[in-house]
Amino acid sequence: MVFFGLLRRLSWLLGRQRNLVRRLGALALVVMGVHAAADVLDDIAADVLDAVDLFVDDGVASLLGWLSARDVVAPDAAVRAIEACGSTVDLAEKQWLAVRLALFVELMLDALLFDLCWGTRPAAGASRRDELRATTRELRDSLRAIDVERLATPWVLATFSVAGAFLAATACEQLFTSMLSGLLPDVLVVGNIGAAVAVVVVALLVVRFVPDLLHGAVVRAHARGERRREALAARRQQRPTRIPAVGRVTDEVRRVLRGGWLLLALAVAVEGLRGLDVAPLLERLQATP
Amino acid sequence: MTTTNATAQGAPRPRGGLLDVVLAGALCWAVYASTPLGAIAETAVRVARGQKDHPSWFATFRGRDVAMTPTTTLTPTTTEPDAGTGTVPAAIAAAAQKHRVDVDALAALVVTRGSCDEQGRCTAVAPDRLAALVPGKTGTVDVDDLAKGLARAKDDLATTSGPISAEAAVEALFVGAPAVRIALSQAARSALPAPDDVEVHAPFLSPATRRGPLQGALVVLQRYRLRTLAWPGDGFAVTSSFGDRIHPVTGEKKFHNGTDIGMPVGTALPSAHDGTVRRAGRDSISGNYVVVDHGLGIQTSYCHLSDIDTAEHARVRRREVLGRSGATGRVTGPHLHYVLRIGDRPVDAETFGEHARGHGVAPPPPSLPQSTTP
Repeated sequence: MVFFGLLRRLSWLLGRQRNLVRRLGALALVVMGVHAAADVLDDIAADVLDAVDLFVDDGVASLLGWLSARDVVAPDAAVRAIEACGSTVDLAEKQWLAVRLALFVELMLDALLFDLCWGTRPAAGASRRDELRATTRELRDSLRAIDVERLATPWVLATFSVAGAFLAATACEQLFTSMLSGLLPDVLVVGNIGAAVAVVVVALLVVRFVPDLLHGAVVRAHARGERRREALAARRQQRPTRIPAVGRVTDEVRRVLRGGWLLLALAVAVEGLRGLDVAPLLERLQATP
Repeated sequence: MTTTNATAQGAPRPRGGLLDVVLAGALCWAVYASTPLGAIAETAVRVARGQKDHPSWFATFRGRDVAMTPTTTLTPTTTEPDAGTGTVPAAIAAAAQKHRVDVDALAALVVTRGSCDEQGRCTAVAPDRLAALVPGKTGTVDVDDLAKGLARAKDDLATTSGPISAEAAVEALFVGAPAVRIALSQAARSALPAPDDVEVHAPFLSPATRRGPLQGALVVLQRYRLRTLAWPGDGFAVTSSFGDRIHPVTGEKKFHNGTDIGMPVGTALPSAHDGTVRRAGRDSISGNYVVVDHGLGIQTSYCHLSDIDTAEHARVRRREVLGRSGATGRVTGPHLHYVLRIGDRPVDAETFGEHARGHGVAPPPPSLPQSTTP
């Protein structure tokens, strides 16, 4: 009983830092999700590079062949030029490029999503009900004016965080299974226990970090949107258009389209989620020892 | 949305603080251990400490928890001592036969950790756990002791179900049979594909083992896999070898990164070894191509195929058909352009595997044109 009392006190003590801990956890969750997506992006980038390379090489070959047929370019020179163009990027270089491209996109997404992930302090209240009420009010206010960023942010972050939770849970599963295997070498169900731990960790990570992450991100997106609206209005005052209605419409369109890059991020996040090996985890869970 | 618990005095008390800290800690560790952001952080710490021998910023991008590519990769000029002779040194062959162990595994051990002298005596530095299997054998040991250790390691592992691979026996010489046995059985129970592959069951070894004794085994296992590479052009002649050559189209001197094997369109092409298909696509120069990752830094590419019979991320076995040879891409005739890479560097495929030991070499059929990759 004393032990549990101490544990509860420690938990309350640490709970006071929950704003920092949960923000850090949410940030790490999204970084893991982006990394999971980057693994898939690597393959997509290689496919795109293959297609672009093929298109360019075929285009150059057709053009030089046409020029050569009309005696504009000497046939030997045309063949050499086609060969040089085709050999510019070989298979290994394309693979290298695809990995670097995926790496670049991953680091860019990490940087761009940082502000949204960091979010805001959760709404405070005297009781859990008060907190929930304040949170709902904040969300309602935030979603009153709509733009792409506010609409896409929860979906992007939710997708990335689920993928991140899965990736982190499988890492925990490996660590847990290797430790347990060393301690209990003759226990046959270590693999099953490891897989069960992974499932529990996924659920815990999602439940503990995702709600605050999404709430904070939407409120942050609202604040960013309002700042953008004010900046646009200030600029319009400094440089008014001849037809004010056109200026207003242009500003509104620019404001609504703010955060268009998140649609691309959403596509990446969905691909990352689709690329996760969920089936093997379930197989490990059900495997007969 | 935070979870709190009202106390008797009415002040809100946060609940689950310890759980949040543990989960956030685990997440931060996962970020540090497996993402490029973690790699950057680690390198930044090393730079800040003034360590000059830090790896490149993204050296650990593919994950650093298990370094599965041997740090001492083989140089492209390295060839097997028996390359071209068609035989394994007599001492190695005799020891392998005496103790009924895989001759290539034994040869890989000797080649990696020792040598054979002119009198035909082969010795090698004893692997970490040899003394536990063959008492008193430490330092430099004879090939017979190595074979004895390999046989005992195999016997020790034989309590698990299924046949024991030569790779597992080699691993046991470095890591110890009990650890390998546990890792193999856990990987098998976890329903992982190819649990006998060291890269698959390594996560079930302790981190200290993976970073320590396993690294010694990986070098030997890489050598073993290179020795046992199947030749995809069985019965067909090499029409253009690896290295500098005169380009068949431009007439200029150019480096040829693979081996061209003349073969008719539609010939079944086997995978050189077990592995995972990393890429299966189409390129203007290479035509239809397949890249297979055999693990431990070994990769093979098969170009100019008429058909691809596999898919990306598919697990393939040694000699499993990947596709059919053809004349797609830029070619002067039907052939296979075969590339072997070790640690991302192309090497001469003819100096490794079965082909180097004289298997699978045949004169070209008279009707076959001498075709090559431009």
